[in-house]
This record gives sequence, C-alpha cells and structure tokens, in this order.
Amino acid sequence: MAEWKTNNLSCVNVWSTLFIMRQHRKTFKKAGDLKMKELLFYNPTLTDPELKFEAEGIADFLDIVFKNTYRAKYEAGVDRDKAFTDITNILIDKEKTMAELAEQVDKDYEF
Amino acid sequence: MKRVICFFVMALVIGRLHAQDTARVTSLESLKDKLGLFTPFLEGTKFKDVANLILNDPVMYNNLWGRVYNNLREKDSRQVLKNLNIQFKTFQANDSNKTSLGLGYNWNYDINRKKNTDYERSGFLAKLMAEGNVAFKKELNPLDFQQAKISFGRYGFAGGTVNKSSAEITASLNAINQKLVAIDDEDELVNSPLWNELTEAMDIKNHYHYELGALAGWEGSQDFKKSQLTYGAQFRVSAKAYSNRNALAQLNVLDYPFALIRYLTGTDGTIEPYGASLPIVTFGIDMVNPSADEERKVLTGNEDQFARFRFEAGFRTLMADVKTMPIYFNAAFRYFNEFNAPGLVKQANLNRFSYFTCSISGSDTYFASYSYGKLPFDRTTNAIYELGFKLGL
Repeated sequence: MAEWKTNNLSCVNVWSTLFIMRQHRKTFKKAGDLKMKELLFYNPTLTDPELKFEAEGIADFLDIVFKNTYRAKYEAGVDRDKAFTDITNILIDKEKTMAELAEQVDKDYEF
Repeated sequence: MKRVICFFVMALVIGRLHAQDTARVTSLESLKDKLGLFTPFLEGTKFKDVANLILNDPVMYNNLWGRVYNNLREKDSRQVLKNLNIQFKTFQANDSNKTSLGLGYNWNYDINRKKNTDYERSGFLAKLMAEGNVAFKKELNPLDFQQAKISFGRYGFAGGTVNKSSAEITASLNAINQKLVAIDDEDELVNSPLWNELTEAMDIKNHYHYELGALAGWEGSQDFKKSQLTYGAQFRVSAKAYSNRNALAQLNVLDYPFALIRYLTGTDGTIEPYGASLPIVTFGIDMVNPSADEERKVLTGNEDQFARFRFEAGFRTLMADVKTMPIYFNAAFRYFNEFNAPGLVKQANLNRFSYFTCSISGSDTYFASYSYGKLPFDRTTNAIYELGFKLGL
C-alpha cells in the first residue's frame, strides 16, 4: 500500500490538482483509496484508445501544473516522456488508487 | 441467482463432509477417500446443472484472468501485453432466450511513444490496436464486430498552461493546500473559498489534446465469414475547460441536464455545466474494401471498395454525489455512413450504422446500462443486454 500523507507534496499536489480538474470531490483522508475508474475521465463506454487519449490529457495537465505551479523538477534519469508515460499508465489502470498515482509521481518528480 | 445456488450447494457439500468425517486431510489418499464421500451425493443431485452454472459464470473466468493480467502488468519486460484487457461476459440477443459465455477484448500498443527527448508536447505516433467481442456460441453474439488497426500520425497538446509561479507563490499555494487537506467534511471542502485562491493564482487556460493520423486495418465478424479491409484518416480531439465559468465550459450543452440534476440533488449550489466533462470526439474517413462480405457481394454483384464517414463520441459526467458516492453518467455514440451507397445497399440498410450505449455507475455498487443500434456486422439493431457481470466499472 502506497503511503498517503499530508506531509508528502506528491500526495497533496496530486489530490489538489485532480480536485481542481473536477476528477473527484473527496477529502484528502478519503482520496488515497480512490480508484482510477472512479475519476471523472474514466468513461467505461469508451474504447481503449479513446480512454488512453483522455488519460494522456490528464497526464499532460498534471505535468504542466507540477512543473509550473509547484516548480517541480524531474528526478535524475526522468524526462517529460517517462513521467508522462508513467502517469498515463497508472491513470488507465482502473484498479490503481490515487495513492499509487502519487507514489509514481513521487518517483518521477522532485517537489 | 446462480451465485446463490452455487453457494447453497457448496454449503450442503461442506456440511455433509463435516457430518461424516471431521478428520483432517493428511495425505493424497485421505483426500481421495474424502472425495469419495461426494460420489453418491453428486450422483443424486443435478451435479451437471450446477457444474454448467459454474462453468458458464463469467465471474470465475474474470477472476482467473485478473490474476494472470496482474502478473503481466507488473513485469516491465512484457510491455506489449500490458494493455491487453479481457472481460468475460454473458451475451444474449433480444430475439433469443439463449445465452452464451464469451469475452470482450481490447489491446493497444504505442510503437514509438518513448522518445527520451527534451520537453515536447507534440510528436509523431505509431500505434497498434485490436478490439472486439467473441461469443463461444457465435450465433448468439449481438456485438459481432472485430477490428485490428495500425495508425500513424501526429499527436499534440495545446493550452492547459498555468502561470509559472515564483518560489514565494508556490510556498503560499502549498500553505493553501495544507489548509485544504485538513478539511474533513466533503461539503465544506467542495465549497471552500480556498479553491478560488488556488485557481486564481494558477490562471488555468483551456486544455486541448488532438491526434491526426492515417490508419489501416481489418474489420470482420468473429468467424471471419464477413470481413473488410479499411484505410483512411481520422482526427480525434478532446477539449477541457477546468474553469466552469468560461465560454468553452458553457458550450458543453450535453452537460446542462446533468447540471440541473446536480443542482436539484444538492450536489452543486449552482446550475453550471462542467468544462471538464466535454466529450471526446473522433471524425474519420475510411476507404473500405469488402473483400469477404458475401452479403454485400450478392447485393451489388461486385467487391468494389467504397468510402465511409465515421463519427465517434464519448461523454461522462457527474450526475450526483449521494452520501459521498459519486454517480456518473457514461455514454458513447458511434456512427458510420457510406458515401453514395448503391440503392440495393440502402434498401438493405447496410449503408448506415449507428450504435449508442450509456450507463449509470457508482463506486462498484450500482450499475445499469442500455445499448441500442448496431455496428457493421452486428446481428441485431435493438436493445442488447449484458447480464449484470460488468466487473469493475
């Protein structure tokens, strides 16, 4: 189980940015266990390529906010494509949780 | 009902075992002895019926596949198989009471996405994909449309930019976030003015994502009796407005009925469409070579290729947030129309296909769905049922 803590900026920024994007309405305490399929973008009637397309849009926006608003840097060995692909792969996996998404963000970004 | 019957029978079997012999299984021989106890019981019941119920239950197969898939996706060396999704389900056409176990499958793979270059928001893309539905009794497959495609094109993002924060501003935004994470009440959180402070500092612009490409592939029925080769071009776009009060968000006419529902259920305090739920749309022009479509050949007397327009759209929005459980409305629409179709093809209604599907879903706890129409090669036009085995919405 990935750690979900208020003193971890990856957790807080993932939660806060997805809230602003209207992807969820959960309090921080409850959002860690929220699964990707419970986010607004995860339309189960889409084809896989369509769903991935939507997930890529979310991943791109998260990357912009992390870089610009929260002045994050990529960790050593990580570039835009790796971070983008990592986030997208979590987003399209319906059983992954927000805590697991934050854990991946923590590996790719330094806040 | 099937689960209840299976559970009841299993309870009977286990109860019988305990009643006759409570000794532990210590060896293979003792296990065989114990299994022998079942023989008269099983012969005396409708074991085959129960076995059939179990063997035709998609839940069991989904659980098995789930284990295999979890194993696959954790291994980086198996990237090609990572996006293979299989869902077992029961098919039933509306003109028949018979059902068939089957599966839906989809797979996609980006051939060249990983470039390891500097920061870029656009680039060249090559993809492979396959999807369809296979019923183990093919005559009962109402969704008999399989396709495999390769596509090349250009993808990109535009907008979505936010202000570049100074260190001081970032620190103040972090402080706001810390106040927000401390809020434990969902209503208080949703209505907190701190969100406005955050978004005003970010100054979020509308976000656009596009993909323009050429694609070629195969479409057909599961027994390959009908098939056609296609090639063409498509444009896919998704626009999102994360501020609801701008013009793009107001253009989300699909969301107005749901904005009203959200208002009436107390989910939102105002009637406001969500810019974040704007639909994803795809436009395509396909050249179709009906190389193995006997039905069309009989009608037209030839296998001449034809041009086809394609439109696809997907939409999902929040209907209500009931006791902290979000209820979503999900929908997809697909439309195919042959240009200048011959009269006989039109008379046979083979020139135009449309398919609409929608569902209302909660957090794994509620599900209802409706589908109408048909895709090329589908057998029926009317409502189609997938009987309550939609695991993990």
